[in-house]
Amino acid sequence: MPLFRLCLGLLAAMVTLPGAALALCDGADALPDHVIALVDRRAEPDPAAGRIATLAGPTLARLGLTPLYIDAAASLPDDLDMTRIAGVLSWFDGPVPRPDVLAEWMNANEAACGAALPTLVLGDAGGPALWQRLGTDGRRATILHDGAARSLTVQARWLGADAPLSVPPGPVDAPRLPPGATPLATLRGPDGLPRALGFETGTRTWVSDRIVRAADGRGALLWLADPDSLFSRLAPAGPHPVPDLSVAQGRRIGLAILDPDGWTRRGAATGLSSLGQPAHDLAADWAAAANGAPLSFAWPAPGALQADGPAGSAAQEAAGTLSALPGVWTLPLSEGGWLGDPDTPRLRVGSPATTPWDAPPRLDALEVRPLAGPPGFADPTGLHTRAATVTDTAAPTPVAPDVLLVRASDFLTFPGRSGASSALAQTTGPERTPMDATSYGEWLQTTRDTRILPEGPLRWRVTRPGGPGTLRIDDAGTLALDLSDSTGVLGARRFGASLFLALDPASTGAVISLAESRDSAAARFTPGDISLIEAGPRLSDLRRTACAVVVTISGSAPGSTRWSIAGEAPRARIDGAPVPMERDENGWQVDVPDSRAAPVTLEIDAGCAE
Amino acid sequence: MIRWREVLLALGALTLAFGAAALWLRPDPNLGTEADIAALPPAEALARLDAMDGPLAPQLAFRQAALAAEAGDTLRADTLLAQLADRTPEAAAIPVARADLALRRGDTAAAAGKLANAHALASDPEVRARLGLLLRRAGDTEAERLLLTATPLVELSGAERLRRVDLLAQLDAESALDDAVAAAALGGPESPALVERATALALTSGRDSVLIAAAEAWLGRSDAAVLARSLASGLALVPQRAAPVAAEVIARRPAARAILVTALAEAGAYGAARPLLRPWLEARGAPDASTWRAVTAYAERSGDLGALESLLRRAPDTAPAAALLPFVRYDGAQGLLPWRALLTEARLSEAPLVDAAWAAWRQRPDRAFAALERAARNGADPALWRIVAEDLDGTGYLERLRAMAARDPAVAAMFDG
Repeated sequence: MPLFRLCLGLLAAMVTLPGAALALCDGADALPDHVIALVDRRAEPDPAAGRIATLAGPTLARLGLTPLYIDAAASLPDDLDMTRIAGVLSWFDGPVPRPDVLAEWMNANEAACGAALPTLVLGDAGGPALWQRLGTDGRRATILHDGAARSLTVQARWLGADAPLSVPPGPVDAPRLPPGATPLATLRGPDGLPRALGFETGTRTWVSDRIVRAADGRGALLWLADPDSLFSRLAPAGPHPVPDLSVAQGRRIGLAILDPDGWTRRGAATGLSSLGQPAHDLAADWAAAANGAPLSFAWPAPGALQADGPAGSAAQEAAGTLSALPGVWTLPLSEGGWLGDPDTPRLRVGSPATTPWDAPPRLDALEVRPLAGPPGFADPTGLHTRAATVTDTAAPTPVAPDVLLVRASDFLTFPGRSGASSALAQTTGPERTPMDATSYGEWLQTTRDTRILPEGPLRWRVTRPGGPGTLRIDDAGTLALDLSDSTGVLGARRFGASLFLALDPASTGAVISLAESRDSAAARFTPGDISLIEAGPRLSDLRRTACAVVVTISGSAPGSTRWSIAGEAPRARIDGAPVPMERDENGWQVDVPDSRAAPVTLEIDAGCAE
Repeated sequence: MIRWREVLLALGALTLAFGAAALWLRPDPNLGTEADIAALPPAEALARLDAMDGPLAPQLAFRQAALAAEAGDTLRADTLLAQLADRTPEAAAIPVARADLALRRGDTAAAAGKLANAHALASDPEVRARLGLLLRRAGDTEAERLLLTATPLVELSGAERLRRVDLLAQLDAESALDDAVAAAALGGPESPALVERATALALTSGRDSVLIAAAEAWLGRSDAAVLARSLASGLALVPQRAAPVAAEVIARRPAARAILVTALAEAGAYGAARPLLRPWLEARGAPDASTWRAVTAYAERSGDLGALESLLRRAPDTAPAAALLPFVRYDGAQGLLPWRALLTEARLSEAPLVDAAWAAWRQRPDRAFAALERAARNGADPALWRIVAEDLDGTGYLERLRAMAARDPAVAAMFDG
């Protein structure tokens, strides 16, 4: 029976969602979660530090896709599990050693898949056979361009957020448009004929890297084409759930990390000096002000700090004090793939992969670096500007959690302390779900193990190891969570065109069902239904009855929860005792107490039983 | 009496002068206040400045705004700076600070406006660079173009010169070309990119004479080899005009012949490179080292071995061992047969890949094996290395090389490259 239902679901998905059907290879039992990332390791010896990882990786991670790096300059694997492959991405500077072999290998993969895989080719295709695979002749692709703006035509949706598209004068790869291809950007060639800077032909897309990004020459990297438009070609089309990396229980995740850079700077004040407090004491004060919100300290253990001289001893003592504070986690610097470079903060999440399939979704420099903020007037550490950058980012940010990285040396100045405090207040404030970095890393690991099986055009079965998690559905339109047909879900929240579904950490299997909603609500209700909108404290094991929910809250500082309730006179109880509820245009708010010592139970009754 | 009166008058004048000087040199009372403020903790310093009556001295008002901003009160800091700007409009530091505050609010348009104000008050390279980047991010191409064209080219940074050329090219190729040529003449790390721009602009707008004059200068510089590659990559894309342009450039600067031939060969512009070889072939006497390198590079890239054969016949004694590699590449080891008189031990030790090919041809697999190992460590072309190594198939030595690759990265790179 389940098999029959699966077949029926897949058939329905193929009929109603051609894009989703396109991405499913023969034998696939779940939506694919990897893309083949072809790299030339002669040019980029470490793919994890290459262009795809740093520039495309974050967007791919947002789309629920992890790059599976394959070296085009070495022997190609012949035993790939194509059922997990969503598409193929390549980004070469020039020809690869055996382009004909690579083209044959790609064709064989498509044959094994049983469908044409979405393929995105950035820059040089890699050789004649690979250009021919795109339907064009790469040997005569390069032309001279005079830089004139009037000769450039671009589809509006390709314009990136950073700067309008322009192509400087000089040689540029611009092949003739293949017959039947759709141009994305064209350039008038020296012969007056149109040349393509990007085109789509069937499932294959080629884009010249001259229109992907530009180095400004003053240290800035600008996206010219829209990365979302580019990389979403590799994801299944149509509304479908993907694990989200930035939102937990309806709120953007906030990670606060203290880097030990400058930890022992400035010795303790004495009667003869006016040097002020040392960095470690100031950092301890800052951490205490977090009121138990999770903080991560970027060193393996207090004892591992270098402790030379009195300042070092004092620092060790302060680190011991910090570690004893509630909500404090230490963050291994040398294990688990975490890096904390003070100059170029980079966040890598998850353990080093033992096999390519083990690689978790990865967030890298692209998200974290802009959040560091440039120094400015009365803001030498850039923390004030960073806080403003985060505030102004569309909430929730489409790619990454809100990462606050503070160096201990930042505390040595008043503006640094002030900036760190305001940024911490923001990271742990009511708009965020504060999370310690270790838990976030574990969460991403569970994301890696999440499988999403289509059961119908708008219905999916989600299997996972449990733990917190969020699914996001982009371009949801008027679709909403159908509470009556879904299980293992705490609730839903809509941000812009996306629908965020909070999964129940106690559930290892969930069913997500969507239905058209007449209003803009994130969930479709029948009388008595109750759905979580947002919560700071951690909720789990939600049980629904006809007109009520019971949920357990544990391991969290005091905080608020907000609910959608299809009832006019709801009531709430915590551990059996009534608690007040406040209603505003966004729903019903219930404040919950500290649950770090012992779990508490929240019951909400919609009021329809009477 | 007269003398006493004069003395008294002189003393009086001196007294008045010292008095005036003392009044004139009287320390500014604000200095004391500034020192006091600097010694106070920031919160107390701000409170003390807030408590002062009347308009503060400019430096104190600026400090007051800085303290407010440090404490996170951006709006108040901006208001204080606006009031200060009304009183002292000539200070560029005020709009720069207000631009920083605008950036904190995420208001890049306001920040650009303030930086433009600051730049108008006092031209500053750092302010101009920041303003240019903000304008580029905002997509205000016209304002960015005005900013960069209002400043003399020589005062711009290399990146700004390049950007100015790109912005001008969007509207007017002629002035962009003039700028690109002038900017390339100024040198710097952006020179190759500027030469590439200038070449493209000249060739697409039909101003070959400008390109020829500029190229003559580029090829006379110390970084001529790098610039020649930029020039050649553009010329390679217009083969019908590349040959006359290249010939004219070399007619004006014959000393750059080897550099340009090498660059044209590397760019694949063989049709433009070939006529440039003629003077070497027609000359008498031994070619110099740069000539050998250029002719060898041409033969290596194009597969046209005629010029190289001609030189080898004319001056075999001066030929470097590397000049024999193109024969191995295109004709295999048997291509070395006509030149076997040149294959002395000294030459073979210079070029291990030639040594390996020749040894394999002579059925000396042990020597070929040793030479291939040496070639792998000397950074040989992996494609050519593999061709030579294939000749050892069946001798057991190819298998030994493969086994060696497992533990020797240099040999592994030859098989993988």
